[in-house]
Amino acid sequence: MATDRRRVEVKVRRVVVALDTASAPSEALEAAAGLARGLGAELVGLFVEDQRLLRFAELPFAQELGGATARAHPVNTADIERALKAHADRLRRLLSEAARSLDVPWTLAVARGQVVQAALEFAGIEDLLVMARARYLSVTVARPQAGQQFPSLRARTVAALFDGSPAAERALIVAHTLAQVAGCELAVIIPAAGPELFRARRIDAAEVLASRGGSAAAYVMVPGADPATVERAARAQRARVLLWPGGGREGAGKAVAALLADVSCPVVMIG
Amino acid sequence: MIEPLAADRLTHRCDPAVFRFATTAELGPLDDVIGQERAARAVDFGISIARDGYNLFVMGAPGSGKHTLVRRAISRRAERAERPSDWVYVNNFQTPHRPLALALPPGRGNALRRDMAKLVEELRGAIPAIFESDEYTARVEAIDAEFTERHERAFGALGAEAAEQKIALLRTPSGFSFAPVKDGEVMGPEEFAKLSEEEQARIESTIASLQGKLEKLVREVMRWRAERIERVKALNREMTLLAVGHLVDELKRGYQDLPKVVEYLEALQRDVLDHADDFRKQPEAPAALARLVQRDEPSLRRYEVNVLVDHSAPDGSPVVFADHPTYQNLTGRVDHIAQLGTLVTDFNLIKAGALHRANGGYLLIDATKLLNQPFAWEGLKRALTRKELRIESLAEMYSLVSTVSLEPEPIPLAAKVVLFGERYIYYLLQAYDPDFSKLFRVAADFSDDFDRSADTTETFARLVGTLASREQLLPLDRSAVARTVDFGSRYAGDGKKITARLQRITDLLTEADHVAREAGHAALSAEDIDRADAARRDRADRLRERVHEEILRGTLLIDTSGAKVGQVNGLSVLALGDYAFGGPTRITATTRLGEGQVIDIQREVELGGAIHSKGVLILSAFLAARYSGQRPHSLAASLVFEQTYSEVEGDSASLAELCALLSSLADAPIRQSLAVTGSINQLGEVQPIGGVNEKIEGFFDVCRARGLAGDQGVLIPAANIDHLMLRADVVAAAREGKFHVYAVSTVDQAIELLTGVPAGTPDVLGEGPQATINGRVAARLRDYSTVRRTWARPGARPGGPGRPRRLGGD
Repeated sequence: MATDRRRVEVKVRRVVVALDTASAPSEALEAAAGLARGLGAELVGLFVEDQRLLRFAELPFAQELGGATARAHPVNTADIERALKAHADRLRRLLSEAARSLDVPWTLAVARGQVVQAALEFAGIEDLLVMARARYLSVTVARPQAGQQFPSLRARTVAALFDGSPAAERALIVAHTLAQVAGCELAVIIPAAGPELFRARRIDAAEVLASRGGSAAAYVMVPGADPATVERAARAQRARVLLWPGGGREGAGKAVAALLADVSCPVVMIG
Repeated sequence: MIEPLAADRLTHRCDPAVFRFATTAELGPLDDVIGQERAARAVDFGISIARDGYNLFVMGAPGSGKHTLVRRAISRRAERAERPSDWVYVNNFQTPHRPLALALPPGRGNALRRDMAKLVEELRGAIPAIFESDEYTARVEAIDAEFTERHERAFGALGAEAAEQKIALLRTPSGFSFAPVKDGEVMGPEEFAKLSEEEQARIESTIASLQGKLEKLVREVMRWRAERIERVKALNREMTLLAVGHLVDELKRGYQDLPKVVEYLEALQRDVLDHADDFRKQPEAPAALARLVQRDEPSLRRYEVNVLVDHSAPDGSPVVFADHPTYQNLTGRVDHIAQLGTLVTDFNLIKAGALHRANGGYLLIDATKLLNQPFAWEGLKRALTRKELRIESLAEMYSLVSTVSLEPEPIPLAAKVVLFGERYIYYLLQAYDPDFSKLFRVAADFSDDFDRSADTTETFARLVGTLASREQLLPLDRSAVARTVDFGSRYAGDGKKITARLQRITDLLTEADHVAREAGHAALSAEDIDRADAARRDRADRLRERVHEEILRGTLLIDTSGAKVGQVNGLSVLALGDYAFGGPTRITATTRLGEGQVIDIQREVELGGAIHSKGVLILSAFLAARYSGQRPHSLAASLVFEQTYSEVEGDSASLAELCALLSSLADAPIRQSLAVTGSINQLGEVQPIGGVNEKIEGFFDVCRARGLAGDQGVLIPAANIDHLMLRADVVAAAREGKFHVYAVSTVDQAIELLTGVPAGTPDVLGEGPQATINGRVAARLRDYSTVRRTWARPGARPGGPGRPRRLGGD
């Protein structure tokens, strides 16, 4: 699929990072801030208060089990609202720190609903959408990394799914930008049924990168573009961010949700 | 009558002609100390015997060559001896407040320190590198992924189980909840209320059951977290070992002959494995702030080596002189550093004491300095008794401070201690400190002087030459050497001896050198020595001059002509530091009827010392025994040193006091042109006294100032003739017959000279011929006895028929 590489433009007004109470925020914020810096965009945090929690809290037998203490205690709507507000404050602090370290403008928006749907509705056509991965409990023990930029990303890998589409080209350009800003390796995951197609797409990808002054990248062939296959390839590359050419926003909610359920790193959606 | 001593007996001049050199520059150096053979044998014995408690106390007067002899003896032995071990302190990783002491062959203490510094430097590079490697990162991520997967799988399974029962597992901001679901949405309260009671109960029961499972799962997650931490720690140890293992193994191979060092290196490796993070952190604080917070940073100081004692120099056993023997300077100390208002320390701040440095060799200490330092003597004894060096803080021992300190591992002590001091210190310690005799079993007693013979005089000449050469003084010609010999004898107070206090000789030569150089001489001559000696006397002469002046002015009453009953010129010496001078003192005696008491007025007013009182009691006993053996001793007498206002000590005036008493009793005037010195025993024999030269010269100076009449002189004990080293002017006056020195052996000889009356020989009743002193004394005492017996009769009363005058008149 030949394209005039000089015509490919990536215009990004805002980098929206969507988070809820089940999201792992650090890597997503780091990636979003790096993108905002690299693309000259505004960093916008979107905290989505899970509507289900508020509804559940109205039930007479509503109880919460502490994630650290394993102790159950009754909760009501007021408790959940206070907890959500505190969570928003914590995200605001993290967002502020990430933005300040890279000197990018930032805001935090709060919405209610379910995170994927709310994010898709919130993000505009010129916005990049960064979705944090969902997790039940954090495994790693936080280590202080005072003063260090991109503590999670540096010396790791940014992976981009490249299927030769214009969205994939834009995803590759954005991935290249992030890799340069954060000092990461770049991995290009190419879905292809056979070697011929892989070689052709690889040449395309290399041309895209060359047009942006980049050349070093790892190219990985995968048999398909389903989330599980792509996730395995990304994990093998130790990817900390996955650039996903998502296509149109309409009707993408379920696909994105399925993707997020499988991946172990934040996903950047490129339309 | 005793004849005066010939002039040539008044001094013991050294004849320059006995020397066969022109100046001492021709003489070879003298390495030995003269006249201290006994002390030298003791020192050799003391430093060679390798037994506990055989430390040395070297005693003798200051400047007697103690240090020179001991240092020389020790040096000879120390040069041949093997160098003792180096000692280092290292961290005790198990009990940090008890640092470990390691012994290493000489020179290897510093090598270990360098090796450890190099190891730490290498680890600072190798450990961060290995933790930043892709391999390490991948393995940590693999562990994390494994546990993440385990979490997700467990929670996913629970979530799926809940979903089958139409229950959703929700993630709340701080935990989890289960909520009933209808049509894919969480059920609200209104919808729930619409359910039948059975359905509501089922849902609640299902949620309760799921909640129980969730609770178990969260607890399991806690265990997984701990497991993950252990897995990462194990990985860290494994990776660190890759960096550390071969480096430490290499070091261990280098020290395989030293099991304790190898043991330490193994402990160090374990510590590095446990604290690999310390090598990964890079302090970035500004320099000024870094000083303040340095100790809060992970410190690699614990891997350093504190070289306490280094014997890398090829000079045999150590010989250490403890110039300032405080407790800490002797036994070592643990320093502290003030940090943010507190005092902190570590094994690197352990400082060696003199005992550490002298361990395996010799420690030389001045006893006076040692005893003047609080706790130092006790500390030294403790170390010698325990045979180990244990650094203990005094402040902590006496609870003066409450700060964290260290208890360094004690170091075995094998040092020979040599104490230098004066004799009185040795004897005081012997008398009052029971430990002393156990710890200092060898005493080297240095003589104050040595015999003056042809041989020793020649050796002394070489010694003088050596001193001059060592002090970079002009050489001495023969006359100067001879004069120095004379000075040495005069300083020893004995014409047959030469002083062993070489410092005094050195001082004289130094001052003579100054005189000679000012005069432009190429070598010291006798004249230079005399001038230097005179100048030194002159500098110290203020008080002597003042006393002399007062005598000449008549303020101090001293007769040097005429004769008086019961009055005699005694002689005394006043010692002021290193300078002594003599002079006459008038002694008077009165006698009367009494009960045998001789009152020593000095003693009555507590201005007489014990030895002086003893002298008076002896002469009193002599009087009673010689003259009143068969009848009551009915004498009352008083003796006094006129115009003295401070304590009189010594018995050298007892001959003069006895002569004054005899004069009074015999009513025989004493020639005031003579002065007397000598002590007396109960048999009337005259015994030698000290300071004979100063005493004679003191009286001579007074007589000469008034004009030598030819009859003036001094009576001295015959036993003091050998001690005479009189000034040249006194000798000259004697040669010319203007001044005389009489040597007497008995009181009878003395009283004859003083009164010009024969003493006579007392008969068995203590009575002598009336024309003799003894006869007249006996007669007087017999009269007293008679009167006393008369008074003792019943009814005798003063003024009555029993009054002595009337009875005597009968």
